[in-house]
Order: sequence, then structure tokens, then C-alpha cells
Amino acid sequence: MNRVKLTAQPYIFWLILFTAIPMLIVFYYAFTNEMGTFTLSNFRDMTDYSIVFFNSFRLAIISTAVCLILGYPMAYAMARLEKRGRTIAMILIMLPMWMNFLLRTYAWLTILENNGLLNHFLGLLHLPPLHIINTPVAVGIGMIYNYLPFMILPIYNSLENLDVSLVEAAEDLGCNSHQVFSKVILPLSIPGTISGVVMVFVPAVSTFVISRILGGGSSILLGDLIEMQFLGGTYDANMGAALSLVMMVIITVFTLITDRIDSSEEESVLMS
Amino acid sequence: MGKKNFLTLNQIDKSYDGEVILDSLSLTVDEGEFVTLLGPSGCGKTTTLRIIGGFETPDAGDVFFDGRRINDIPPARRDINTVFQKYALFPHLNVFDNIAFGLKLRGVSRAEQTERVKEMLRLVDLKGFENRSVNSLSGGQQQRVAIARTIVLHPRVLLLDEPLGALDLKLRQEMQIELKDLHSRLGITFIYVTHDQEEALTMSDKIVVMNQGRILQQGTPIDIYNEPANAFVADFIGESNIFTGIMKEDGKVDFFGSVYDCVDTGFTKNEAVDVVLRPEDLVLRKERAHSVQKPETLLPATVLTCLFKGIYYEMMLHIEGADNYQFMAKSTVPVFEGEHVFVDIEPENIHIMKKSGIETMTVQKHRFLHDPNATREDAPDEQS
Repeated sequence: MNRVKLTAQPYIFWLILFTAIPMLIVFYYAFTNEMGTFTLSNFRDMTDYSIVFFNSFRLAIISTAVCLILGYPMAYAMARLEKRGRTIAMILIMLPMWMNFLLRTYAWLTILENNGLLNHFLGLLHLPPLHIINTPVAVGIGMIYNYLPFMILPIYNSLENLDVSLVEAAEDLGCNSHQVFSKVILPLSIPGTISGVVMVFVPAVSTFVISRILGGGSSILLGDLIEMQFLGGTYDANMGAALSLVMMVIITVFTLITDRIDSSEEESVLMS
Repeated sequence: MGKKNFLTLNQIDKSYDGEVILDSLSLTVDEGEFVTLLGPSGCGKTTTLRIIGGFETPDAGDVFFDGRRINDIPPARRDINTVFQKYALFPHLNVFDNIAFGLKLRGVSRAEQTERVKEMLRLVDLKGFENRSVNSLSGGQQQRVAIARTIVLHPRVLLLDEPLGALDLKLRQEMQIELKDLHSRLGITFIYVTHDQEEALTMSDKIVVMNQGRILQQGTPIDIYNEPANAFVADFIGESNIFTGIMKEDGKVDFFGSVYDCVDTGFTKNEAVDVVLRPEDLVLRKERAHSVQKPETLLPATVLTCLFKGIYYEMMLHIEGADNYQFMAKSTVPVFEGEHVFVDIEPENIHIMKKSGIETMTVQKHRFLHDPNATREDAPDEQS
């Protein structure tokens, strides 16, 4: 018992230093003004930014949904490949992640900008150019591109770990291939899908790099707003802390809800 | 009474990546029979079962079920269900829904589902377990759910792939009796796969011994045990002393320089044969007198070891004048180590078999121990 405590000490120290103390500082700032006196005005003033909240969530939800729609079939196809094919597919998915995040996002800038690769290509086909850069669409594309692997991998993982004999048992008991999917494969991949959704939604709702590079300030997101409070001209650390706190609460609630869906989903399958 | 040739496999070939798994395998099963496919791992028994279940397609040959060719019929539309090796219960469903799974697919009404599942739970002795999560069940209970899930559909054939492999010895013996009981109560044809010869002997109406994708022998447990067709079967079903002898004439076999009376006939004069002696059939005499065989032919032996095994003693015997050979004998009467004895055997307990091409490492190893003509070079190379 004592040994366990002893080995845990560095982690506890680490947690206190880099998680607990910063959180307390955020709390302190969120509930004080620049004079250091207690106030709730930071939260009251936040209503001015409700459009930012709305835009951020809308974009994050859309990106997550698109990632799910693209990611699930990809993960499913991957899990059905031979071992060799799986390894290749895995490398292809991981490969872009070995490059710097900023670099990848800037690469999309050169693709999407008005005189960029995409419009150049459209011009060759005698099609009218598209105006994508500096719109929410560009930000969405950037998010989907960057976060898609986080959707694919957990889903792939849950599908890959699925015991083949469960599929055979389902066939044996009378399922056709659609029923095998809907009654066995899909319900058993829900935990992976849920973690995919969380892993895409959480960074998507808080990103600021993507929206700044590809959105060009056209649509300010929550992440941008918070960054502006600390680094921008409108320095307001108290407001920044309050915004961070609200976002943290929202993300926590979101995670708890998805956890709940995860377990009740299993039950609802039982009832069906 | 059940139909003859209810299920027929006709010259089935199957190979994976050029490796032959089943080699022109033919098998017939009568309705209501309890048939066990027995063999070492890799002998093709599970593949045979999977072909019957519809999870594998044979490369060549036909599968007939109740007079109909079923090669191309998917598992879902065969009246055949499988109990999988590791049960394959659906972890996202509770006990009730696992058992009702097939009923729901067949559009059975809710009320009938409840009734039939309840009846099954009673049958497998899991009353009141409806709402339990399958993950909370013990291995034996999961096994029962897996069986209930299949027989609730009233299949005409039940396939069981080493269903007791994961259970401990005591539970396995209990489940053997329960399965046997279930079989006689339901009247369903059972095809059972195992590598455990004792399990096969206990439960089966018919045992099919397989090795290297072929059937070596099929018959009742008693036939297989008492009249093994070749050295491999003899070695696989129970422990045996297997060695080479010379058939002098009908009813006379020569091994280790003694000519014993036996009951086998039909061999050519001086033909080299496999001799199989069950350890429990060796009678150890202190004197040459009062023996079944002619007193002068009895092999003199020295007891090397005598181990207490519970209900019997297991002894290793050194045959005098033959340094490389040891007999195994089982007896309820202990003999002290170092004691001199004479080996007596009832003529009908000496099993003579034609030398077969089908041999395995284990048999060859035995032969190295027992064969007077064997040299070191004949021993299988363990590295290769």
C-alpha cells in the first residue's frame, strides 16, 4: 500500500502543479475584476459574445457529424481488410499527423485560396472559381481534415476487436448481412464511436488556429475569442478566464451526456 | 426413429493457402445420433464442423442434409445451429435477449418469446437469470446460455465446437453428463468436436477419429477403444504400448523374442505388424506358472517405477534383454520397484494392426522406445 503511494507521488505532484493550481488560477480570475475584487460581471458580459458561442458550436457539431459520416465507413472498411492492408491504411491515416499541425493547415490555405490550387484546377476544367477561403466552410474543411483520424481510429479499434465468432453466431441464429450489422456490429462499435465523437468535438469547439488561418477572422470562434483576451489588443484576462471556465463546463457536460448515451444505448438495444 | 444418412458429407476437399485441411472426407450421420469428431489439433475436425454449419465452403464435394444439397445455403437458412468454442454470447445483450435473439429474427411474438426463453432457462437450470448481463456469468453459465440460445430455435442438428474446453475438470465432467442428458431428452442430432478422448468416449454414440484431414476410424466408443484400426487410433484413444511385431502365422505373434497367442488372423506369414497393448491389459505374474499364455513364452521384466495414481498404480517395466524398451502397465495391486515379474496377456487383449502409412510424431516416438529395429536416426528430428 505504502509502495503504491510512494510511486504515485510524482504524479500527484505533477497534477497539483500543472492541473490543480492552473485551474484555481482560472477560477480566481474568472470571478474577479482587474482590481482583484469578487464579481460576476465577467459572466454577465459574456452574453455579448453569444453569437460566437453559437457559431463555434454549430461549426463543431457540423464538423463532428461530417467526420462521423466519413469516418465510420472508412473504419469499417479498414477493419475488413487483410492484415497487410490494415497496416497500409493505418500508415496512410497516421502519415499526415507526423507533419506539423500548422503546416498542414497552411497547406489547405494554398489549396483553398482564391488563386489557389483548387480554383486553378477548376479553371482548367472551365468551371467558375469557388470562394471558400475566409469563410466558415474553409474552417469546417480544416477541422474535418485535421480531426478525421481521431474519429476513425477509436471506431476502427472497436471494430477490429470485435470477435469474428459473434458475427458467425449472428449468422447462425438467422441474421442476414444487414441484420448482422444493425444487431451486432453497430451496437458493439458504439463505445468507439462515442469516443471518436468526443475526440473530434472537443478540439473542434475550442480550436483557434484553424479558424484564424483558414477563416481569416471572418468568423470568430470561442478559441479565437479566448486567445484575444490574453494576446490581443483587448487584453482582459478576467474575461478570458471566465470564457475558458464556461467552455470547460460545457465540454464536461457534453462528455457526461455522451457517456450516458453510451450506456443507455446498450440498454435500448436490449429493448429493441 | 431417426432417418438414416440424415447428414452426409461426400468427398469433401478443403485447403488453405495450398495446405490440405480435408482430404476427400466422407461422413454420414443418422438423425438423433451423438457423433463426436475426435482428433489432435489441426486434424480438420473444426473445419468439418464449420462446413456443416455453413461457415466454410468446401473446395470440392457435397454436403447433403435431409436429402437436400446445402453447399450454397448460408448458415442462417440451415436448420443447423452452432455452439461456438468461446460461446460467442452477445456482450451488449442480457441473458434473455441472447436467448431470444433468433426468435426475434423469426418474428416470434413477444409472449411466445418470453415463454420459450423461460422454458429454456428452466431446461439449462438458469431460472431467474433473464436480466443478468452475460459478462457477469461464470464460464459454465455462459455455456448454458450459449446452448439455450441455439436449442430454443429447435434446430435439427446441433454443432458443438469444443464447448467444454474452457471449463475446469469438475465442471467439464458435470457438463458432459448434462449435455448427454440434454441430447437424449431433445432427440436432436449432436455433432461434437473435441480433442479429449475421454470426453468422446463418455458422450458419443459414434466416434469419428480424424488425423491430417482424413477419417481413420469410426464406430461406437467400445469398438474404437477395443478394436483400434491402426496404431494412431490406439495411441490417441487411451495410453498404449505400441511396437513392431512379426506375425508368425494366424494367431501367433512374435515380439521381443517371445511368441504369444493372439486372436488376429489374415496376415501373411512373417508380416511386420503394429502390436498395441493397453497398459491395463498387462497382467504381471510373480511366477511363470498359472499364466494364460504358455508359461515359457512370458516376457521377463523388471519394475522400474511404480507410481500411485489414485485408483491404480502406473508402472514402467524394463523388458529383459531389450534395453531401449519400456512397457507401461496399470494395476490396482502395487509391485515394488526393482521386483522381477513376468508379462502375461490375454490373447484377445493383444491388438494386431497392419502397418499404416499414417503415423505421427507421437507414435514414432513410441516406436523408438519399443521397436527392436529402431536406431537413433529413425527418431524424428525435433528441430525440423
